[in-house]
Amino acid sequence: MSHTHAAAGDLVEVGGLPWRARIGPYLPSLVVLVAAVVYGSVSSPYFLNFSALLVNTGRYVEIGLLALALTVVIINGDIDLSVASNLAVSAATMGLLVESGVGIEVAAFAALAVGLGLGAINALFIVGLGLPSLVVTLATLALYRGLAQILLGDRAVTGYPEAFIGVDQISLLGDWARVPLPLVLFLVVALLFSVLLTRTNFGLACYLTGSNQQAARFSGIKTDHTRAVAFMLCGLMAGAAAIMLTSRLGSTLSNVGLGLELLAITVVVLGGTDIFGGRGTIIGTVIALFAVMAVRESLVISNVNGQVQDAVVGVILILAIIVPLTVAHLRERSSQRRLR
Amino acid sequence: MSTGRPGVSWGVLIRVREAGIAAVIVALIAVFGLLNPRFLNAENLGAIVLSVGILMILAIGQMLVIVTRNIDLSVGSVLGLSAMVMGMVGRDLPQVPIPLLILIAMAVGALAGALNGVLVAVAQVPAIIATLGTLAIFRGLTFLVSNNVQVDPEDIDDRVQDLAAEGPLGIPWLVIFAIIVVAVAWWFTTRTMTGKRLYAIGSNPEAARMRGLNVRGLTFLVFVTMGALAGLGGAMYVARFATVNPADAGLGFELAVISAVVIGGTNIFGGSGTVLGTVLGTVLVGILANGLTVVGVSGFWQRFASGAIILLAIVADAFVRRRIEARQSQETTVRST
Amino acid sequence: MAVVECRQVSKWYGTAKVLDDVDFTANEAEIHVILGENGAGKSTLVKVIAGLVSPDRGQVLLRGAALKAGSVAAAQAQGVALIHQEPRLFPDLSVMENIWIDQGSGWWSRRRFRLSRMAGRTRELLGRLGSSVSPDARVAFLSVADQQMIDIAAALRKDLKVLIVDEPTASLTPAEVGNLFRVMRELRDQGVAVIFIGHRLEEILEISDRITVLRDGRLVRTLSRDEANEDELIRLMIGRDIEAVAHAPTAAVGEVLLSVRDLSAAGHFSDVSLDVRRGEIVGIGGLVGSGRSEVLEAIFGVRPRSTGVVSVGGRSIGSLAQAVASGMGLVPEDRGRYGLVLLSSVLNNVSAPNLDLTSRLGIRRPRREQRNAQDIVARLRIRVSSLAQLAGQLSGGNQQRVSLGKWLVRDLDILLVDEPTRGVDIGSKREIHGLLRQFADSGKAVLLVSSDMRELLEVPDRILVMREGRITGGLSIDEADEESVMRLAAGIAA
Repeated sequence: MSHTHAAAGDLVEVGGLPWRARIGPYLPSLVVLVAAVVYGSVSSPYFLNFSALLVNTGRYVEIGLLALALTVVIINGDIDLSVASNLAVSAATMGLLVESGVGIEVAAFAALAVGLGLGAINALFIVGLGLPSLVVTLATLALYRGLAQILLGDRAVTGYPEAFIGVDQISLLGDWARVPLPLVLFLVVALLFSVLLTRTNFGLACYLTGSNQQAARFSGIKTDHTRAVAFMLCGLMAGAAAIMLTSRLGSTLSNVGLGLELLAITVVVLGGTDIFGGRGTIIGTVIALFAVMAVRESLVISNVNGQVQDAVVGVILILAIIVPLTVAHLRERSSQRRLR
Repeated sequence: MSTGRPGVSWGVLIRVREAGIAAVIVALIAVFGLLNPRFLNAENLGAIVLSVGILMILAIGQMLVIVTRNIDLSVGSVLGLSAMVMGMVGRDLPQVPIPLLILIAMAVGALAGALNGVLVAVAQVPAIIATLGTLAIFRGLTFLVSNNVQVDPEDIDDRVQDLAAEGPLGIPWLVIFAIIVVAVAWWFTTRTMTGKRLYAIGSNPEAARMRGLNVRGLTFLVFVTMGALAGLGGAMYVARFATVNPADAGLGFELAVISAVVIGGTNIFGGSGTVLGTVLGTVLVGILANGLTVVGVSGFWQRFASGAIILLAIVADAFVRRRIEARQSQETTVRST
Repeated sequence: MAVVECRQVSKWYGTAKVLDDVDFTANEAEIHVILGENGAGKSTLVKVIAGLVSPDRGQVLLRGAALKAGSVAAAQAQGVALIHQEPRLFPDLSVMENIWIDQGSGWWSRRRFRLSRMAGRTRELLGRLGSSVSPDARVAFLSVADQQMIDIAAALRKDLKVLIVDEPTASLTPAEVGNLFRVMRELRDQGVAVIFIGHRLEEILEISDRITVLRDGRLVRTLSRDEANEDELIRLMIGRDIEAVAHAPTAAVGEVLLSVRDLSAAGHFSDVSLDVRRGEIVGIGGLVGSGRSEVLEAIFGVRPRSTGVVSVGGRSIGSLAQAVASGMGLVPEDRGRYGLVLLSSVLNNVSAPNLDLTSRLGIRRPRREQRNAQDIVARLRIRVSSLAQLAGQLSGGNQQRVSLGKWLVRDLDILLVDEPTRGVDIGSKREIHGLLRQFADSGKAVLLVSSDMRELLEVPDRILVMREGRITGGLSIDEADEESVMRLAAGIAA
């Protein structure tokens, strides 16, 4: 059980724990990551081509941004199914503003503001009215996607300035190791989230709220405030992901990011975050993102179709939950047998 | 000690809530009918009945799942997979009789449901995660099985397509199946011990275990039932649309189904929910989707409207529940001596 | 004749041995009390008998036949029923459905509800227990005592041979306890073996035919009621003597610190006014459900108020944040649900209310938090393996100390404590009483809610009594005795 501490917002030094306990929560995603990389490099010489691999990460950064914020929401004991729809509304807003001649900076800022606002609406229903987040965000999943459709209809917004398009093509370190800018941005944001969860009062409030909301409240933690902030953070990240995605694609459709919420939640859970709240880490989510990326890219190289890629990720998600449970179960049994 | 008074009668409240949905349905029909009389013509009403029928078959299963404090997100993919298998069998082995085709679809669904059931009941994976995984897995399987080739209308026997058009007394078989599912579910949940036990499990799983109820067995059963119903839904999908595309047969269906169940008043945390409520919820969702199109509201507003109606339903529920609780706690104070 | 026979039953949880070669026998037509401190293994033992826990070694014989280990269904088929402190019922179902839900053992039971007949049988069963709850009432809306009776009625429905009642009385009113005991005696007279787990010695001596004492998972001794007395039982339970602490009130009572005027919470209590002075412990007595806990929660700001003013040192307190800032802390009754986050570490639990003291600009400072937590662990002599240990892994007494200690990190002025020693072993009980007294003596104020009559009469300086949501009277410690408190609590004129 000792590995739970590392994943529950604890400040106590874990130096005394055996290495197995320290990496315990990350083990499933690490195994998947290594396996996928080995499989990928065996099946194609291009897989380990460093620059190609890194360029592809740009595509996963959007999922990653959503997953980071979802990690916080899920640790709080909530869920946000509406992130991808929120992303679509944010992207649509940005597109319409650019079309009407507003500068891209202002439009991007508006995307963040809309994302934040829609997150706040979720918070209003969930925290303010005390409704279950699963149902509310199921409703806003449809509501926000509908809003994006109302805004854009079935046309595509193009006409973004050249300078804005192709953020994923920008590399930081020149040609010898093309580190895409989105990846760097993602890692910086991940670091901020990690600090937020492990080193701030807000972080502790999240873990305690998710573990036992009533007890947290009775300890003077502002649980409503904490949960509302998490939903707004989630909205903000949806806005940020919208900007990234638009820059990468160079156009906006109302179905942008459709279904990304399931992928992002899969990443969070694969990373060891407890779907019922109270436990989880940003490092886990980051590793899981790279694991999912490696799996999908190695399947792409083997010419496996997109839906089947998703299915493989689905299998991994389920195994990532079952295998540790079974191992723990067996270990407990054998240790008890030894005692007798 | 306590008085014999049961306080606010829960049964009455549930009826009041259901009457509320019914009133909304009537109001919607009136509004849509006034805005465009075509809404009320036989052809359109027939279309509504058919789409509600398929949704209903799945919603009843989903209600049973949610009552046990679980959820099945994979229903759309199961529908797609079983529709695909049925379509392919019908195409490649034309001699297979229609009833057997339907049974094949249900068996495929039941098998898929059994996998969900094993994951949730035996391996103890939270239902929301297990079915999030199988949602992708069954969709992927549909691709592998079909080799990414869609089943076209000319491949589907006319008699299969007739299931959605003809039947005894002129009622299409699709509708008859939906009615049978509803009737059996109503009998099961109100008249059998096993039905009541589903509510018990969702209401307090720990107590259910302590009272010796077979929690795992019943959970497994409920997922298999859901799967078989999704399979039946798949068969009806083939009948109604006469095309099965591996990418979009049943895609996103889970949201419509869960919406119908939630609007119908089933508690998302298990323990309560009625067949009648689910039926009304499904009808409401079906009428809304159709009506908005018929009165010329752009299709783009439909998602928005369905999201708004779920929000409305749960907000209304919350207010009612809060008022009951307030009144109840007042009575408790008065009673305790 | 022995109905239940445990032979050399042992059970480990992880590396902890909770039952150690226990040979326990319960006869038909007797009330057999199992007694022991928290963690002595009482609940585990009865769970083994009821088939909820399978023993790692040894076996259980029911009427001479070996029980299939860990099978609730097998135990039930043998007529064993276990009633818990918190009734294990289905809140969404009706009373009748709750009682009949496990009728028919197969899981494909198609037996139909014959509504009218079942309602009649339900009324009859409840009637035997002196309960008049309607068979159609939803269980969620019933009191704990009513729910316990439904739990027992469900057991009575079957051919009951062994009734196990696990610590039921903590949340019951005296009248309800009396009714429960009457039922237990009747069942005993009908030949049922009744196994009862309790904490209150007076109760135990009143009800038992035989008493078995467990300590650290071992059976210490089984004795008949005639051999038993309070001192002897305490000695057997803790393995040493303790002397009772006599009440020693302090003289130095200062100015009013906490003042409550006309406080009401709709549906729970109304027009509560009280003052607590520096250096004073004020007790609140009354029956469970009389609104005492709710008063504390409303003062602390975690329960909405409908009217009234709470002020500390003259400043009005409106919210939870203001209450904490004004130096108030609440130690709630239910540790697991409200007092502690059991799945989080001791450190996090202690840090939670004190983040304003330990952090800078919202950033946590680990060393400060650790220093504070270590202080508290040392001061309250909390037994922890490390600060990273999960709160849920501590014993009841140690959990209660953490729940109290987290507030003592702050320079607190007012402690609101609700049943601070419920389910806590006798040693910890004394220490917690000592801590409260010490706290008050340093010029601070304590408001104490307790259902434990001895605690209520020994610890506070004066006592308020509540009945049906109102304060019905106040007693100085000199005039208070069991009778005077009960009169006010039950509304009987002197």
